[in-house]
Amino acid sequence: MKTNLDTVFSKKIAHSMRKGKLIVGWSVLLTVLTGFCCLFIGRYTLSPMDTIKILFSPFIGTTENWSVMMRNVVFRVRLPRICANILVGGGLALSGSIYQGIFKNPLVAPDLLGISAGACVGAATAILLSLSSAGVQILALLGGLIAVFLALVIPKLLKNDSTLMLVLSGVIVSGLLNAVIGILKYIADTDTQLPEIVYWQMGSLAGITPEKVTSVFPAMLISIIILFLMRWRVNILSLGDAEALTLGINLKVTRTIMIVAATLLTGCSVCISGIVGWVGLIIPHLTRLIIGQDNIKLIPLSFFIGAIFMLCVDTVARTIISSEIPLSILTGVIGAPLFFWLLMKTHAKF
Amino acid sequence: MKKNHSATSIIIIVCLIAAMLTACSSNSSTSPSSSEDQAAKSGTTSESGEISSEPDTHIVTDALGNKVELPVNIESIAATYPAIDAIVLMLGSGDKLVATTGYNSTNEWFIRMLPKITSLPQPFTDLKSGNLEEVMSISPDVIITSGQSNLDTFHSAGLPAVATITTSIADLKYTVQLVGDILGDEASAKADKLLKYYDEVIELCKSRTDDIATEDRPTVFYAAGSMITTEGSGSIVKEWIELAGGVNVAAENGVDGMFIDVTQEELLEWDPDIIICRDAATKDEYYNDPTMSSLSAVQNDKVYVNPKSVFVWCVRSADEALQPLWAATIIQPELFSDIDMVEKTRVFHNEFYGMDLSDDEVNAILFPTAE
Repeated sequence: MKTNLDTVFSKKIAHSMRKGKLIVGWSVLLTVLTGFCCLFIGRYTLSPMDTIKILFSPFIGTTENWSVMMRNVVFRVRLPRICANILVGGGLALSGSIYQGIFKNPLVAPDLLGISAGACVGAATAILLSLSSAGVQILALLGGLIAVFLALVIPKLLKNDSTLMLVLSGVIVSGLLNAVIGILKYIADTDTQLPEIVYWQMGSLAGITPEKVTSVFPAMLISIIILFLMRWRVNILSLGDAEALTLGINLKVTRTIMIVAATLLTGCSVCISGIVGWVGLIIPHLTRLIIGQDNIKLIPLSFFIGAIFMLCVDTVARTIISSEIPLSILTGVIGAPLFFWLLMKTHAKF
Repeated sequence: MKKNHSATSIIIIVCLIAAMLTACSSNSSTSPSSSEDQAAKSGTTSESGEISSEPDTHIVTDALGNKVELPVNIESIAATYPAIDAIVLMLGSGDKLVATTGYNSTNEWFIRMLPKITSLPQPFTDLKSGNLEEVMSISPDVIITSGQSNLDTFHSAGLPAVATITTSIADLKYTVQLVGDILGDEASAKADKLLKYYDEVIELCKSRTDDIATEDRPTVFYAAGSMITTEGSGSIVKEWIELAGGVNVAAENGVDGMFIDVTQEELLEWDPDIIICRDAATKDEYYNDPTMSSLSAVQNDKVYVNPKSVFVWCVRSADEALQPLWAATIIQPELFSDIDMVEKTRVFHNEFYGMDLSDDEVNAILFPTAE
């Protein structure tokens, strides 16, 4: 009898594990497919056949004569942009689900905690100091880390770690940091620096270059790998500190590594795309609706759903009219109602 | 077990930092390369190019010091900000414009000179590089933009582009000359002619206003788009106000930069003698606003709307050549009583745009009204 029950139980677990793996597997495939499809869409008229031929020309060595412009459209505009979509969309969604998991709070996200604004302050300061783009990245990370630190310290000072308090603390931090961005805009040189800072705030991938993508790629990849490998610890952390301790996990170190990695991910996204709102909040929720609470599956899946979401949104941003639509406008228009729908659907009680 | 964990975490943190450093080093080696690459490329092509009497390309140095290789024969041109369109038009190459921005396509004078402006694509947003693929499908022979980051974006996509600055009179002159050189000999000659005219206007104004002491100069407030938005030191506005024998009241009180909002209180305290509005609608605002209508400039009817034809004269475009003179007839009317702006306007537009203007049309330029 007992063994029977055990086998049923383990079968059930095995089934849900398989189902989870299957869904994540499909999401990887879907991401690649979406990215591939987006390669064919754009304002520059280029037939899908030509696009494919140009894309594979370096591997099969076709000698057909493409114009330099056509090659540039594929290799220097569309391809880097699609890579950036996957990195930014996936990165923001991933760091959102990490923050939500380790703070045990479904209402936090890189933009809501002020981390994006902090990264933006760092990046804008670097622009004002005329630092190289490496300096921009480092200061973006530092700005993000300072923002997380502030957002975490305020509830501690008030000796209140309720869900609401962390959200309020995020409101305070992002409010302050947005004001700092405002001050920096005032100091900035209108001719050369201001457009760049405004661009950080709007969120856009219009000015993406292969060099920008490769400059953030190593840092983002390593953060993503670390967070993927540590994802099972998020489950333990979200159980509560006492439980985590009994399981022999070094709380402080684990949490710090994850926060630094997630913040690095957010900071790097801000460096290439500026502040893109909503993705870090709604994608983890959407993913939870699909696959449930388990962070082991949730974390990879939210990365890929975030990537797919960003691929679709950015393709609209770059094709629908002859000029570019800032990303935050689109993610806001889609994200806000979607979040409302999610709250209705899940009958959320926070 | 615990030690083991912290060792792992330290390794991971080290990895993170290493990742960041690689990101930096790879970045610092790529970021400045675009202009150098460009220079290197242009260097080699000019050396290895076939020996012929007429080279196909030449190298121009833009306002930020980038050396860019461009074809000698420019068939198509696009600019990310509207003032350059007006300069291109003035230099006689309006038909080469293949893209524009919203500002010019709604200006009746611009449309009159170049009807196709209304149907040109508008791929640039907020003075940025805009929709790259759209720009690539238009594929202009050269793009004129502002700022290094825009320039880098275009160069990265393989689009030929140069950066310009038009913040001061000297920068504006350099830009006019640069656009002329890019467009070819004819345009270059026209640019020379315009700059000569501009210099003469500047000299004329200087000769009559240079000796006026600051305390004898009327205070002037320039309203850029709203009653309290202005341009202070470090702008072309300060330069033409001074040439015209006035003093920029905002710059005098420490306002630095372009498109700066001052407070209503400041403006009331400065109480400028003269207000010059970029847009006709702003003048009406002053008269209708219960607070602002108490300004002495409003009381004494010294609020003026800046003349506007193909481009508004007061800012960074070709028509700016007339601006110091017009401003002088407003700010120092006694010293410039011999200047007939109607005649000057007519001759200028005839000489530089080939327009024959009627009296009504000259009046519409000199005294724009809100629609």
